[in-house]
Amino acid sequence: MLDWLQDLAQNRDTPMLAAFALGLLTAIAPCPLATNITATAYIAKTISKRNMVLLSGALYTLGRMLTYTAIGAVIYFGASKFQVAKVFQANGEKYLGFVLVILGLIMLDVIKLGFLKGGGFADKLSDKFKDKGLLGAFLLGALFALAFCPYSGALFFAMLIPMTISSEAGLALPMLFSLGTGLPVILFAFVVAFSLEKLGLYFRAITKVEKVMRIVAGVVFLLTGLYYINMFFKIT
Amino acid sequence: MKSNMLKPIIASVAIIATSFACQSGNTSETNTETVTAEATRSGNIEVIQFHSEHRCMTCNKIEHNTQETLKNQSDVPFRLVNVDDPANEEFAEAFEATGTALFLHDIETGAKKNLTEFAFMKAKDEDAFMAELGNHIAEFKGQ
Repeated sequence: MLDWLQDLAQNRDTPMLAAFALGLLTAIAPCPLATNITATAYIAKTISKRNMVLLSGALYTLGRMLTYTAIGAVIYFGASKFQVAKVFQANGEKYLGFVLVILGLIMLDVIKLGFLKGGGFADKLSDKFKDKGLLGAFLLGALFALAFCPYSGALFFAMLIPMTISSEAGLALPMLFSLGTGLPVILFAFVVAFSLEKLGLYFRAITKVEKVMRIVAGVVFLLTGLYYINMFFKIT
Repeated sequence: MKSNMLKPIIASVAIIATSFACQSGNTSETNTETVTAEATRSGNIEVIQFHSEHRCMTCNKIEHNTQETLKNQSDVPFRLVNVDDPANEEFAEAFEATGTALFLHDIETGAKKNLTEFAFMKAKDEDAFMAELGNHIAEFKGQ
């Protein structure tokens, strides 16, 4: 399966399929696993509403698409691939940890943004992120796509971008790449949500399971954030 | 709520539409993964692996496989270059290497061959990696 995907990813005769395969390879690689687990937990948290899970999954993918296409477009229209790649590969993952910890604390209700200027707006925003999560899923996708690890960075900057520049399909390729990176997360989130819903129905405790799932999602954010902070700043 | 849901969707659709509209043309830079500089080869070559400060599993595997391949090629030295080290900035820029990248480099003439795509795609299959890298080295040496 992996060999087949890799062959597809290297086939320059079918650049659209290659871009999609590169996206799938990025999604299943161990290196961006931490962000994928976080995204899965976030998308799957509204277990009682399957449509909501699918919609947030789709918006998460659209968020990734926004970032990848924007970066692709900047290079496509003449910016130096080297300079752009350098900025994102050096810094993308570095500050992600802090953002994840803050989001985790918001989800766990440990911090509230009400004290900020214009607190009403910030409160509304954080409530939305916690409970509804559609806009949150979109923003999360856009944010996670910025976090290039060495593997995803190589697949994006060394393989996808040269193809984007030389192929007639152009900027359609980063979009297909994004679909590839988002699809496994959507599928996995759907399976998790579906299983938990069944579990909740079996024990007649769907609301309780959903509540626990939200706490789990918050904890996953927090742990992933700490993992990244530790990786880059070597605290322990 | 509804308008907030719609905003990201509208924004994304706009971006998709714009980019499809911009597909045609751009032939300013034809780029293939394996670029060989048009310089003569002296046969005096080295293998360079660039890497970032934080390395992934695949990146370590690429180094392992390359080192294993070079055990049979005592005339080809291996160089590991950290692109995040300011001391290597200029060198990395010459190769346009940002994260992990694998290059063949002719020390005398400056010719280079980018093997990054091959390295990432074949990293998991050590035997195939070693065989193919051996071929790339032989070809690059002009044998």
